[in-house]
Amino acid sequence: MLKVILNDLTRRYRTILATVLILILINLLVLFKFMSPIYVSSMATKVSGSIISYLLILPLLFIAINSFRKDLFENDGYLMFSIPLRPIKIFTAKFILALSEFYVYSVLTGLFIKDIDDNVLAKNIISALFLTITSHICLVLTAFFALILARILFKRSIFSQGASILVFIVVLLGSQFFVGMIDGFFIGVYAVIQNHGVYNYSSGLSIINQYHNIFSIIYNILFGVFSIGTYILSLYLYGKNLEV
Amino acid sequence: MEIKFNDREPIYLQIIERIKQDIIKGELKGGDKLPAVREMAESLKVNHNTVLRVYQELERDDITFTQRGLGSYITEDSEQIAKVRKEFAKESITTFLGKMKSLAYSDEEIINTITDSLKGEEKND
Amino acid sequence: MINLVEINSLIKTFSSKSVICNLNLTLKPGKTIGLLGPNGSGKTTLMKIAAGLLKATYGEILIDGQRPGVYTKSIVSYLPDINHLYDWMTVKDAVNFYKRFYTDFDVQKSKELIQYFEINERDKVARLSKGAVQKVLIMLVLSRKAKLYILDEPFNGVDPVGKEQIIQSILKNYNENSSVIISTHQMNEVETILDQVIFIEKGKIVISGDAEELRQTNNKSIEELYREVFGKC
Repeated sequence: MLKVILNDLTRRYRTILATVLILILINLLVLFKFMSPIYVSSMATKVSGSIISYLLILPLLFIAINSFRKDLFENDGYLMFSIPLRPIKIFTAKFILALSEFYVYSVLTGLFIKDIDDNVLAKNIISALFLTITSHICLVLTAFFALILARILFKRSIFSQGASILVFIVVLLGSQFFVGMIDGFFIGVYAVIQNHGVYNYSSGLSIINQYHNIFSIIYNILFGVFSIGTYILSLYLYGKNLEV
Repeated sequence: MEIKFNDREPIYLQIIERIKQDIIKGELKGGDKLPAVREMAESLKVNHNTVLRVYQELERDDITFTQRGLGSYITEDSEQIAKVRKEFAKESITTFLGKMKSLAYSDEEIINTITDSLKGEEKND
Repeated sequence: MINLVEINSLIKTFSSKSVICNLNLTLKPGKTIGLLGPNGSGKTTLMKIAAGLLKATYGEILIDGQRPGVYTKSIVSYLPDINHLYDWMTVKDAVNFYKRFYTDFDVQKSKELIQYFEINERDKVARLSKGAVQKVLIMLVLSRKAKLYILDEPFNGVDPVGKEQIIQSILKNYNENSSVIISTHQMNEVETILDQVIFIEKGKIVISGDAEELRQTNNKSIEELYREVFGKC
């Protein structure tokens, strides 16, 4: 399994490096005041703040899952499907890599959504990192699932990749709506309500501080179920039904 | 060895023919070692099993003998070689006669034609 | 001697189209088999099923006694009909990939083949001509010490000299424990290296037998036989 990760890393290191450098550059520019940070809080409506932060993060998600997408939709997928390794190992390795990548990227972005109160950010960065990982897992899993499903339904036709985006949005919104899994969303809503229309990382963090709240316990259980379910389902589809 | 194969006939027969011819011509002498199966297959560009079959048939017909661990060798039995020579000649004659008959040559005409050709060759020598 | 490949009543359908129809086949080790048939006859599909890239709809296929899976992938070396290497790869990268993921990859052999085919290790695969890419792919596939080699159109886009080199490399690669399945349209020069010949049409086996026997019985070369069987004009 490690081999797969290593292999993908050698395949992607240029992309990863470039993305990281660009993100760091933006952070430096913000830090040294060459660029103004994205004051998401300046958005008019209460909810749109969290949506904006999602929009910022989605391109990074796409970058992180690109390797998997290529395996499913382009000729070089043959390589991955021909090697004598159990599908669960290949799939899990790719998932871990995509997750790590995505997480690194989004942590870097968190830094340039500037906070009004820097102290709060610094204190709670550990818990913030720990708790937002759940939403990251969700996003990546959902993306993988969407890619696999679209691949199975539409093979490698022109619209299958577009269809995967559609599936992704549907599953994501669906899961959010029914289970409120993506805690960032609710944190956002919460924070926005609490802070009178201001959404930023620290207000999100103050919600995270209320982690003992029963609301979030339920969310996290349901999140766990959703994640495990998606993982297993994706794995099953990947292993059994993919036609190269 | 290089053989231009006629794809319409079994390859192994053509190889056997060629080896027999080489023996008669003297290019392969009694006691000579035939190349290993692998070598033969690669140089002729034929399947290994085909070559194996060739060697087996040659052995069966006593044209070659195998020395354990060393390989296949052309028989040193001159009688055997003479026999092969005779067989070849016989085959050629049968084919020749068949053709001449189909051209409506009588027996006498055939003999005359042969004699003339041979005389002609003598003159040219 | 256990059969290397055993196929029983194999059926493969895509949507409603049946591509392989009740196919039965057994192959023993140490054989070189030609899989011949017109485009769309099911050759590539059959090969992909054997390679474990597609799943049979019905029926059974066993490679070395096992269903297609991780084990069979480790003993089957498959040459696809397309270039499946990553764009960014150099020849060396491709070799390293194979070395990493296939324990039966023989690096020494790959070096010999690279030299024989006159390949430059540092060339980027994406920049090579079609014929050169084909040689690289063949080099990778034959450098594995597999039990079953499946070559889908190995002479695709290769010039006559390259074709001869590839034929030689297939011959050199022979060993009595492994078999090679070659699918091709270009029977010229290839016939003589085949043990067995299988003619496939519309997913069914039309003729199957020993190459030499077929020549003897029909008094034709395999190529002529092919034209007779499949030429409808």
